[in-house]
Amino acid sequence: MSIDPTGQFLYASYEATNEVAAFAIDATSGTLTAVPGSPFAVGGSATTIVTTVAVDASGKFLIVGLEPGAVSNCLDVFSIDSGTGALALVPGSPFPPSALLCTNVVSNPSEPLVYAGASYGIQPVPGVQPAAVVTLSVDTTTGALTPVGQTSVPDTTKVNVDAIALTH
Amino acid sequence: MNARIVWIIAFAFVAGCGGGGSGGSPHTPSRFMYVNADQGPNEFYTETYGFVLSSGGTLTPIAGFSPIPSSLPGGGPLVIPSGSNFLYTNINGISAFQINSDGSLTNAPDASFSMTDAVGLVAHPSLNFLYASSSSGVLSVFAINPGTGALNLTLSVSLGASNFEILNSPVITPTGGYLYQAAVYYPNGLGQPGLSQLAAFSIEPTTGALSAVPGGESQSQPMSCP
Repeated sequence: MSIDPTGQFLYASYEATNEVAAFAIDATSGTLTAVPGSPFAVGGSATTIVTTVAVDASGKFLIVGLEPGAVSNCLDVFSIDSGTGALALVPGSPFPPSALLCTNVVSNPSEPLVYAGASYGIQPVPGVQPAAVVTLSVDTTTGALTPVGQTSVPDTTKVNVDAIALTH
Repeated sequence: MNARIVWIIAFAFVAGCGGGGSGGSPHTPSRFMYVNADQGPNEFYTETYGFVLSSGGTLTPIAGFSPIPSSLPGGGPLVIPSGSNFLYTNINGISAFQINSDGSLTNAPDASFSMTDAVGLVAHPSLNFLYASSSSGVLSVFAINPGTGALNLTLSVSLGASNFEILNSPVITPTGGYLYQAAVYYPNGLGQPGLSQLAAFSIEPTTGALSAVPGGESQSQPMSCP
């Protein structure tokens, strides 16, 4: 789940879905109201699984981690309607990295960057790349993602990134 | 299979208290990233790694950083309250660390709670409270010692009956007024088809206590279930 920086909208999914649910948050009562059009289908095949969602630091875009079912681009980006919270898939989705799945997405609060955990195998296998954190720049106009770096976990037997946290 | 997000009326019960501590830690002038990673496929052998985070997104392993191994199966959550130099994770129970200026981690006083099934962690924007979700459907509230990062368990809230499963971290609104937790409810028992649900709580600002949002049960949202 992720809440936009203004606190107006909440986005949610679960591991075995290919949809993202969107809610408007009542600032006075805390109650949630489904955003028109919710739930929103992610790009890719019907078997694509949503693994994680994260609103970027600007609040304009929702980054969605995917498990495509095979090694493939695994990040969708949606633009967020600032008035309603509704989502629209950004052209070019899904974006890299090309991996078995993107497990986590974390936004950099001070730069237009996001970090995604990338898994390339379900268990350690010689020749299969270990889990990595991929750094991507966010086009602040279109939401398009561009990889700018990748760092593997130091232990090459690790295949899943479970969690990412940044100091601020 | 289609299911619904519905709201949960939750009930609180008081759990034990403990913790506390003293001392301080320097503010961190550099920026760091910490990552929990495991060996799959059953999320064994999780370890915590540290990286220096440079402008532009470059990550460099922290020199001399010793990965922190977990004694628990399952990928542990990880959280750094915004603006603090404390790190919380669930690698050996809920563990608290101070982040040093070189990125190394030092155990906070009274550093660990034996909550072995924590799957989610989130910090309150005030930096005063940490919330931990267990896979068995319980949310625990910890007070954070602002000087040391030590945790003091103050309250636990159950989502209801025993057939709830929480899979990930709760979220809190930026102003700290409300907390939301996703869960799966199995009305016919674990292993049977489940309903994806969202529970909403208001947060009492001085104690961090959670109260179910009145009327929340009227909300629903079609959604596939895990």
